[in-house]
Amino acid sequence: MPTIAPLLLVAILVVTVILVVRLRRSEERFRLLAEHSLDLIGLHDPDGNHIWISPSVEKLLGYTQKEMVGRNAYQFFHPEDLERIRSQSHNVALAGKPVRITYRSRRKDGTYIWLETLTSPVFDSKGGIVRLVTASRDVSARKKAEDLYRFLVRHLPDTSVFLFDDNFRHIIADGSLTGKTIPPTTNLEGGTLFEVFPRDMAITLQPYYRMVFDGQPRVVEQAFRTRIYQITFLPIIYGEDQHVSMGMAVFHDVTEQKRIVQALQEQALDLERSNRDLERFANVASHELKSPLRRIASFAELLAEDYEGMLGDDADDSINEIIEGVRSLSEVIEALLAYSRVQTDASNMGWVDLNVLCDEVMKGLAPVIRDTGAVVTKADLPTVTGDEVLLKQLCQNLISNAIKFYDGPGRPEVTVTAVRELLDWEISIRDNGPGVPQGQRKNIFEMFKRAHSSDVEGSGIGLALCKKIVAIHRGRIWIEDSEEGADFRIRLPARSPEEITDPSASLPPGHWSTTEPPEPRR
Amino acid sequence: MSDVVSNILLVEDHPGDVRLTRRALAKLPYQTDLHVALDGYEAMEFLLRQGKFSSAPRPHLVLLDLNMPRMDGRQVLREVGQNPSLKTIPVVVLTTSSADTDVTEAYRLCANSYHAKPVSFPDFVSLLDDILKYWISVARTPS
Repeated sequence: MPTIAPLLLVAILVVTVILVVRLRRSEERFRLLAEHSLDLIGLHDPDGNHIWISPSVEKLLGYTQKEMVGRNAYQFFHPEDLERIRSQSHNVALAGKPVRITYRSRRKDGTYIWLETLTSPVFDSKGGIVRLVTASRDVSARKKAEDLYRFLVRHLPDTSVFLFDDNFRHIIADGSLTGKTIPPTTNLEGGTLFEVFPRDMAITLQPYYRMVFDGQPRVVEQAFRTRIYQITFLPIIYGEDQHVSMGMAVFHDVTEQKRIVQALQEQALDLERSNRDLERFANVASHELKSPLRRIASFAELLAEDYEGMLGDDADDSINEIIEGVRSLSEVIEALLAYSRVQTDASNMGWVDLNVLCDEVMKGLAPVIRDTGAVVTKADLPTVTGDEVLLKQLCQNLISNAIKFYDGPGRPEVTVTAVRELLDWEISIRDNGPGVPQGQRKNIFEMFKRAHSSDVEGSGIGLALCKKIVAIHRGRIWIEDSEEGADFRIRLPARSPEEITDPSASLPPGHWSTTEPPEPRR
Repeated sequence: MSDVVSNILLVEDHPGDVRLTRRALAKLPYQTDLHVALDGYEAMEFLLRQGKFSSAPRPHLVLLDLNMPRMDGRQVLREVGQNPSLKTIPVVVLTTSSADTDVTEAYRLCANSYHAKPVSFPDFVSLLDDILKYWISVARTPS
């Protein structure tokens, strides 16, 4: 019927106008809100072209509103960020949910600023996306801070840092470990826990990531694949409301340290075992040797007695040689026994004030000091960790040697000083004696080796004993060059008794291991 | 000083050491009769007057070596200590070892004293002198 067609046309026209007006009106309302916002608010078509943009664009990007209308938002993106953002914006279309992106936007003067933009889709009645609404803010300052932070993180040795929000999405995921031992290698930022870490690692880390947001810092040791990490979880409290806004996980690769500690422990056990074997052997050997030795000496003496004068001078001499030989042998056995008995264990380790120890040694050597007129001076000595009995023996051997071997016309002079060298204490015992020739400075610490003639009495194991005691304390002993006399140097590690007993014990966060001894008791 | 001859039981496995003890005693002024047991078994037989030692006298003093084959000094100390009539006999340990563990163990088994045999003969004579003077003259012992 002819009248229906024009009626239909008018109806469609009216509906269209109403719809357009409604759209315009909502856009009008929207515009009002947006014009008064500090953030950059934009309305785009689904391809990203600007339909409208808030006036703040002029302050932020230098362009006027007019200059932006019709242009595509992506035009202003930094080329490096473009690819990344394009794929992420796609999510808006797929998820139909708002998407947050961070990128550099070009200003009219050619410089770039960092923007963080929240893009929200607007749907029509059929569910298709008809508009995109964006809200952007300048995050350049924050980005700069993050970059500085990232720079720092990348340069920490054997460390990686992960900064994440309460959705476990990483804002920072960087360091020297990522790419080497924590896969995967690139573009971890923006990824969630399960996107950044391999599944097995993520599953293990998940409860800790969650616990970070209850505000408690934690340190854990965790093995992944072939490495061992010390992971520190820290809550980041930001803003005035004191709530945990982000979490940080600092990974520190401690595999090497752990391996070294384990090797040391094994070595220590081996050493202990071999020391015990040695002592047992020395005991048995000395016992078995003593009886025949005694018989040789005693019967030689009886011979001398029974046949006195009857066998002639040669026989007397021979008998004396036998007796003398036995005496030497007996001394050697005693020395070996004493050497084998030099041992200690962790329970004997404590703080030892070397000033007090030295004074005690000097008191013990008082007769010798008096007889020789020796002068023993000591500077301020440190307090070290060690076995007091053994260290006293060490000190006594060296000082008494220094006095014993002096062969000059004047008085023996011994000077004891100490100096700190990084993680060690270096103690020096200097004398004015004949010194030790360069060529003998190594093997003088072997048993029964002497640098000088055996006019001076002694068992010949004094220095070997010193070497053993120093070794037990994980130190070093050697002879330094000096103009006159001998300069014995001992290096002892500056560690606390706790560290000596268990070097593998990992201390809880906030607990500082001290290598400084407590105040000396005076 | 008494005229009574003191019976001394020497428990010692090595004949050479036995000879040395005899020679040492010969130099000393004490009236002694030295009896010898070559190991722990013989020592117990002597003390209990068994077998070839059925007419053995009760010793005034026992000089006991620790390390002997078959039955050693420690075992002798144990058995003497458990025997009511024998435990009143003074037993002096005379041995080569000077190890603390041996000393402690001997006293724990109720040895009366412990001495390490010196290497030199004159020192040994002097030691026996001290021991015998003490147990024969100085200390009073059960008769």
